[in-house]
Amino acid sequence: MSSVDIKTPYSGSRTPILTINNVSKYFPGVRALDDVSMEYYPGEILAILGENGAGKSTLMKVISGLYRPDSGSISIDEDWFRNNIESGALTGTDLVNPRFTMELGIGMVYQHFQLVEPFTVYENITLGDEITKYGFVIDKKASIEKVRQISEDYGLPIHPESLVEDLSVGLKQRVEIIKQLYRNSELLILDEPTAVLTPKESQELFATMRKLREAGKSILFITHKLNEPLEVADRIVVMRQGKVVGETLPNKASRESLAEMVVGYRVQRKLDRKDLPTGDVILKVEDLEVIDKFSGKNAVDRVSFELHKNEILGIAGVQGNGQSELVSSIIGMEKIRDGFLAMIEGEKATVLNNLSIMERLKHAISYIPEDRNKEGMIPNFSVSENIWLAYQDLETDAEVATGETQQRSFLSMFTIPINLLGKLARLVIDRFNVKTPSSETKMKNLSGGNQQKVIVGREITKNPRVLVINQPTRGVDIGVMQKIHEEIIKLRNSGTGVLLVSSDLDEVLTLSDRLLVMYSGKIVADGTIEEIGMERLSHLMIGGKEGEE
Amino acid sequence: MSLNIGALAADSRRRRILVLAVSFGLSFLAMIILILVLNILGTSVDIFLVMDKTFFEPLRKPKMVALIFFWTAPLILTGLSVAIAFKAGLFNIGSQGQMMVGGAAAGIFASNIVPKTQALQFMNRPLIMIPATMLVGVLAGIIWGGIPGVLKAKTGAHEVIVTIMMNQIALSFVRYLVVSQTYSPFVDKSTGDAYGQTSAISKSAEIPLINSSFSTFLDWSIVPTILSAIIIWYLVEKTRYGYRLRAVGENISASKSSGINTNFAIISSMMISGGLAGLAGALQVQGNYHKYIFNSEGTLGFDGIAVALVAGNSALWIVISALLFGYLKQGSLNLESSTDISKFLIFTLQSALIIFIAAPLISSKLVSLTEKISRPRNVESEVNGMSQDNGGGTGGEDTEGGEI
Repeated sequence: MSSVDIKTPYSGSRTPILTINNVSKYFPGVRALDDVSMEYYPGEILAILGENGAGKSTLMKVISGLYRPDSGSISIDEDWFRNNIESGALTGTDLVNPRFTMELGIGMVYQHFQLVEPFTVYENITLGDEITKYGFVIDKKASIEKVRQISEDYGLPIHPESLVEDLSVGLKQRVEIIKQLYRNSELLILDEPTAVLTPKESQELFATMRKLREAGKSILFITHKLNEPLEVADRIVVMRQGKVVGETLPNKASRESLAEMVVGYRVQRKLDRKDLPTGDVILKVEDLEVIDKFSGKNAVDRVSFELHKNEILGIAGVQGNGQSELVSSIIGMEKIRDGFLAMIEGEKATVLNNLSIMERLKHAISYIPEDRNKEGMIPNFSVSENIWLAYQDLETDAEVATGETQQRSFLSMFTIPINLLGKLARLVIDRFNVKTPSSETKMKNLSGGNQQKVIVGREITKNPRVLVINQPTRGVDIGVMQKIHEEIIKLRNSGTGVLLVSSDLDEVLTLSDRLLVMYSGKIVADGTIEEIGMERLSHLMIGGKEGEE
Repeated sequence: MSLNIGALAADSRRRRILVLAVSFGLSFLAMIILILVLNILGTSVDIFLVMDKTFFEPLRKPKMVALIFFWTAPLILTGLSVAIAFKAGLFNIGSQGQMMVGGAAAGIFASNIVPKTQALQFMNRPLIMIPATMLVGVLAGIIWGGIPGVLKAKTGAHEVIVTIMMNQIALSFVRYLVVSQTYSPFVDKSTGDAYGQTSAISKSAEIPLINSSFSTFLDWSIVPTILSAIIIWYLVEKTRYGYRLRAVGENISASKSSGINTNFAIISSMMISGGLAGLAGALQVQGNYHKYIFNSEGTLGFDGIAVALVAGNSALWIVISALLFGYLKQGSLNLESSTDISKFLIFTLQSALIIFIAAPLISSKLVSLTEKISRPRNVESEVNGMSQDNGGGTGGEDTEGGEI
């Protein structure tokens, strides 16, 4: 099969410094890269756009030499790199390996930072290539000076002597970038650089990228967010299922046209939601206070609200204003200092404050945590075992979900019901279209989007009365996002009350029937989006007071 | 826990056998090189004699085969003890102390408490005494293992530190009980200067030999031992409790948010762990010595760590792993008793084996290499194929990658 015909819309007579020729890479059961060809020109910001599992990261790893391609080749214009850096002799030209690419001046900035947290900024930057005096003593002064100089040259302000662990995520990323500049990297490869950043930090990063381009550096960045390439890239290459499916320029593309290329079909942003009358109160929160473990202050400060049946209640706010603490306290992961929390069932109210997590789950609350790797799943367990995690003490729910009654015996009280596990797994995999070789595949071998589908799927199939969901679609692509949104709406239509937190304001606005705006642990507004108004919303989210707009 | 012990458990069965075989081969080679180097330096060790006495003679003579099983039994129990705690994410270094406490408690119970108490005479028959003495050992172990469990769950005290200290306390406390002649009523003073043991246990608590003409060592305690291995395997792999234990060991936050009582899992796994070690101690008293002898455990408790490590903490593999260690132990003893070569020579082999297994990359690389040679294209390496893209986050390509 011939590769997709790539025209080179990027003007200029320059020759590519990096050419990828028909590269394929296989993993057991997957074609991660399928006959990929592309060219990279010096001095441009190239965005590689694609869904999770499209092969972007694999391609980066092939370029950096971490993976060897199974077929095809990569040619690097060594002369160009050599002319741009004064580093010494290079060896092993035909064999691409991480050390070689590093010496050549290709620097990777990974999504998960490779920093030593308790070290200072300058120590991290010079690590591995320290500036020394007498041959073995670290020259602190010179190191700091060097870091300061890089930071000034490129306009990336940082304090060389602060500890990395004290820095915000955005600044940590800046340290990573300066580290690559310190090592004379000419080509920077950024792997999903905005995944961990707040919108403001992302804007700062884009500014940094533009500055670096002006300083003559070349940048290749991979992302799954549609607006980013439009904003910052010179050229966009779109990948889907291991193939390059197209290439475009930002001024010729739109969100819609990119989305179409990324997922392969026209995206319908319109969600099928009927307007339902607000139902009865199902969860009542009054004067809730949750303490912040580090500062000892109230992370959630006297919060009161009611969640109704048939309602999606979205919490809007800049991350870190108590939203996560609020939802964790509802499930019991955080202790409540004061106030109360109750489930209402007709006439009966059950106070949840002193119930264990298991008891709360038994009151048909479901919880989807913010960080799936940390709280949501067990990477070394199979898909079906991970699904069972949500059902293990709620066997009747499992039977209702699968529509099968289990035979009960004395022994079955103690053993894992393998049949039921299999049926639950089938249910979730089919309904959410999880891409996995089998239900016995280990969770860690699934892509992020599919992991999220498993987690959301197992909670939604439980048909809970209250669903507490934090960042439902973090790090997943549009296709998965669409599916998860549809399912949340479906659940709401069936009578469930959904409490939604997301750092993606778009998501909160599209899904919610009603909004709570949180700032500094307090609820500063409560109402529908029409009642609050877009302008007032953004004003309140950043701590603006009422009436001073 | 970032310990490497869990690494092997993830391997496939075929691969684990290969890794084990390669590790064994490597350590074997290391030992031969060591002997040769020593010979060059001036010793005169006959390699063939060493090989025969260590590896072949123990398999030729039925009495020695029986001895291999004799050594294997307590290793299975202490190996299980370490493994079950590890399943819950805990590194129990305290099996040694738990075994010691179990043995001492069983010994004191069967030698002093029951025989000297009028009200308990009804118990003094094998049908009651044998299981009762075992139970006393188990209970003592449960207490000794439970304390670090409770401390871990309630205060966050690290189990490694606490169990090390509990070992020390066990050593001193048991020494006080059975060595100190002046204060302790349990010391056997009849043997003159040979203190350090209790008087003989009641005949009814003794576990009989399987066949005294076959072996004067091998007793029926191998039965409860194998039963324990089967029960622990079933518990961990098939039951709801085991599922929770493994979940807690793999990811405590995810377990918590799914409503699992993590404190219960931690405490109970440490109690089971202690109970198994305690049982090992009791069986030694009942089957072998017929009294509790101070420090007769040797290093059986600590060896359990190595047994579990080699078995990748899987209960059924522990039986095989313990057999291997029992075999090496008998070989080393046979070598020492029939030649003037020290058994410590074989200990170097054992230790090298543990290093090769604890550093799975070495043997795993070799296994990959042979696989590559036999199947040159598209090696099924351990690189986790589908997590190549971001968001997966936990891709395991950093270990045991066949390539890079």
